[in-house]
Amino acid sequence: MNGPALGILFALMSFTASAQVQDSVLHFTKGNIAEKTFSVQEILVRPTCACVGACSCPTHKTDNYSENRFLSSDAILAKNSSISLIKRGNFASEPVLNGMASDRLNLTIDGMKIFGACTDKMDPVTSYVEPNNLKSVYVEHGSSGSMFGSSLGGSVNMETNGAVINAKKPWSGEVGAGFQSAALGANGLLSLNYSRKKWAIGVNGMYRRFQNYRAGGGDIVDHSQFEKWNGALSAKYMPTERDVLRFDMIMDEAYHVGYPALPMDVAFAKAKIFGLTYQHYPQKEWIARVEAKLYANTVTHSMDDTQRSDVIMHMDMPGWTTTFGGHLDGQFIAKKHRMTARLDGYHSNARAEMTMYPDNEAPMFMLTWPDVDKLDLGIYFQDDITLNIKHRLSFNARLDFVSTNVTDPLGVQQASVFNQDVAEADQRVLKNASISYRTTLGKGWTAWVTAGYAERAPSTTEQYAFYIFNAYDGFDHIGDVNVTTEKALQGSAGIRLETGKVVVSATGFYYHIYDYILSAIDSSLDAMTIGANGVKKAENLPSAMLAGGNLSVEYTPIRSLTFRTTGAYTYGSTDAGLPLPLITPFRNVTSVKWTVGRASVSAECESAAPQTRTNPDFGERATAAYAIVNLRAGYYFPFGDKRLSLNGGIENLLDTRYRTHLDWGGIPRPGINGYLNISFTF
Amino acid sequence: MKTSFKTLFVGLTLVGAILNGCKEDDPQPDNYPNTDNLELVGTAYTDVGGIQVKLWAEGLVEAQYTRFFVELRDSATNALLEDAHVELAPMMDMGMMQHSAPFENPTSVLAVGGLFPCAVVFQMPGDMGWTLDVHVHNHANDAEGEASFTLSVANPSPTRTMVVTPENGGDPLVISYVQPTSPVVGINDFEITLHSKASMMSFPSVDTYTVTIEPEMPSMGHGSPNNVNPTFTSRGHYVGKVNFTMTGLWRINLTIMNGAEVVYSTASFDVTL
Repeated sequence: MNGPALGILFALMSFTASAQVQDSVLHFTKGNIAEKTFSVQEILVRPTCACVGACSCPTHKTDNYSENRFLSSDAILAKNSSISLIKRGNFASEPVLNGMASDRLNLTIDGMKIFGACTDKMDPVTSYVEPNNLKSVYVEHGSSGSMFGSSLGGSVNMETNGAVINAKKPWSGEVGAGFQSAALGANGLLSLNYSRKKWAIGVNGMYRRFQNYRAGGGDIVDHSQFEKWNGALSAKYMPTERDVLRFDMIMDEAYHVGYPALPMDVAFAKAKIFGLTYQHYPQKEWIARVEAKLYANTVTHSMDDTQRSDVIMHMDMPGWTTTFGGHLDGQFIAKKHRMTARLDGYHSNARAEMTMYPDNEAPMFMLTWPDVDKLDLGIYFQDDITLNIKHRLSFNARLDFVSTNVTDPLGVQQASVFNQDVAEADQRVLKNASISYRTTLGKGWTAWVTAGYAERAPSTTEQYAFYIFNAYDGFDHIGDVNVTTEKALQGSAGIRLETGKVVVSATGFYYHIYDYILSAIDSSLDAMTIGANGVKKAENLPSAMLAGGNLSVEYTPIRSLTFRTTGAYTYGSTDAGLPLPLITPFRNVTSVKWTVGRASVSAECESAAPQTRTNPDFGERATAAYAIVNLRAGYYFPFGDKRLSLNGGIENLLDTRYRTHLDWGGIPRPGINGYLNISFTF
Repeated sequence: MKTSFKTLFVGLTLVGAILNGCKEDDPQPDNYPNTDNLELVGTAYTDVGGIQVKLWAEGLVEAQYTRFFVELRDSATNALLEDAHVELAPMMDMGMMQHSAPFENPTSVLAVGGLFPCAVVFQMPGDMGWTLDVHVHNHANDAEGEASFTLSVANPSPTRTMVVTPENGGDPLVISYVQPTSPVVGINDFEITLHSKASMMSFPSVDTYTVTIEPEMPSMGHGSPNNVNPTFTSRGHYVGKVNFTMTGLWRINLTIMNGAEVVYSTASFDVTL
């Protein structure tokens, strides 16, 4: 029961449990070894949680969440009610946190910066890591998350499992298979950990193959298939009790990925991710930990129109990103202060090409990302102050220097077409800071308030895009190298009541964003893409605002029964009062779960209000309200310290035809879907 | 900072070059006039006056705006002649009839780099039939004569010269593409010439029209932004800017106006990058 593999399972369970319970930011790890100041221990203990601000420590649930490892990473993220997904197909959805998508978020794996190579954002970083390789996910809102970079929306850091040293038994792992009916999908997963006293090696593998799915009502959604595999290797070596050396590698390859909402599919998307980490735990009272990390990764992405019948002209659209980086950080403890200081930096290159092949003519070639080099050097400081048992204060600040330049002369020539000079490097300094205060108001009551200021650099697309077609608004997009740095003043607050049977939490946030970057129609320009509506160019709106909140109630009348309901709402508006695009309407998930011994049964209802606040320039259409019902059940058979888990269910029981507001192209989501997952942990 | 270093470097190099040039006291290097990037079309001697005439071109002679460079030497001493009056007379003999072509005589009686630049707009190709007479008046000895070259004018692909009948009536118009000869993605100088065919033998330059351009990719149907319409410079030349956003086949559509009157609106030149 307490084997390391189960520990892994447990940690994931706890994370997912927390993601379901939580409405807000979460800092949640298992076995936080940093707290054991004087020794390094790779011991998996019950989850610990330490946070200040927009987060709270959830009640630990003993639910069997092993089925979550068959989900995709983005689906797990979306269990957090602050996170929605932009869906373009049945694969690799783009996370949106509080109405802010990947351009405004730091999406990292073990703190490593990775950039998708698709100009259409078909490959968010979440698509390159699988849940059976995840230990925890760290979601921090706004500038509170600036440890991982300057951003407006916050940080989503996915922490991988890593190998486990000095486990109870040398070999441990999990093998599992899952099937689902809507897309005739098959999942297979395998984890193995080999553990010795001073070193360990862990491997993880996942294979998925899904066909075109059946939407509610019975229509087959063409071009929604995909196939992928993901392999991860982690090796750890502990030369002394105070040093850990860790090497991680993730390989991810997806093939024949259909994107029904786009005019093209993806032939392949490949990522290779490498990280080398050294951690030192000095035997000094005031230094808890020193960590140095180097990493490198490459992503290759190739779009494919050969499976489509309505192609006017064949085109190739490959994209590449390569990123190198590293950080050096230390955690210091001085009386009431727990400080983190960090120096980090990365260099990334992004290049994307488009070649069209007209009949009997020369190929037409252009750079949609003109070989853009980006250098980012940052310094970060955080201080968590425990004033006393009731009051905690947290402060963080970050400074970044960002320099971008176009390295391909063709890119410079292309930009000259728009009278833009991109020959010289574009340099910016970014400032981020936030302060949080958390207090215990009385028995079971806690409250927190956060204020922050954030800045972010424009994305490669916002600065350098060259006729990148966006299938949502139907416009070709062009960057502007001189687009102004986006800034935001942020405030959030929350209150939580926790009694024996009831947990209630409510949070609210308000972001006032200055120089909000949004593309605007430039009617003087001619669209390049055949059939496109026109050309949009990146511009700064004077300001925009995002506001929203979450309310979650959990009621456990008796030990075996839990009712839970979570609602989230976000409102976004430009200074002119126009709605910001792609804002999720009010969304609610209500569930009831009954657990008896090794069995559990749950029913959940997921619903959303209609979204009529649409941005016409963005080509948005209103989305109708929907509600779907899911039934789930689980059971496990213990075999000594091993366990066979069975999970199954029926999603969208009523076969409702629906789509969420963030789904592109009006493509309906899957209809009734039966699934069964079997896994064996040892 | 980078730029200023570059400027400094170029400046120093120039100063060095000038100083060197002065020191060595060598007014004419061995390869003067420099014809390294030119093709010899032919060598002929004037009928009278004892002048050797070498005709150089920038490449194959084709039915388009063609720059020539005339090298003159005293046929007795082989001395380079750099002060002379040079006049061209292109002629196409089609058997039944003859016609000339638009041309540009050298603008000066002084050679440029030892050569006399001039140009002919060959409005049609022909393996046979084209001749170019070069009339030379050597100012050094006041001798005068004419040399004759027989030319083979190839058919360029795509078309670079067209003779059109104006929509508003009037004399036929010769429209010829000058540049870009090596188009690149981004901004290119765009230049055409306009001549009117007043008679079979007279093709005066047209200096008072306005020209607008609209580039497009025919297979895509889109254009490009920030083009600058060509405006008249001299001797029938109109110069502007054309933008290409990507490689491939581009068509530059022309609209030629005389004041408010449309002269010709359906001419175009194709360019492949």
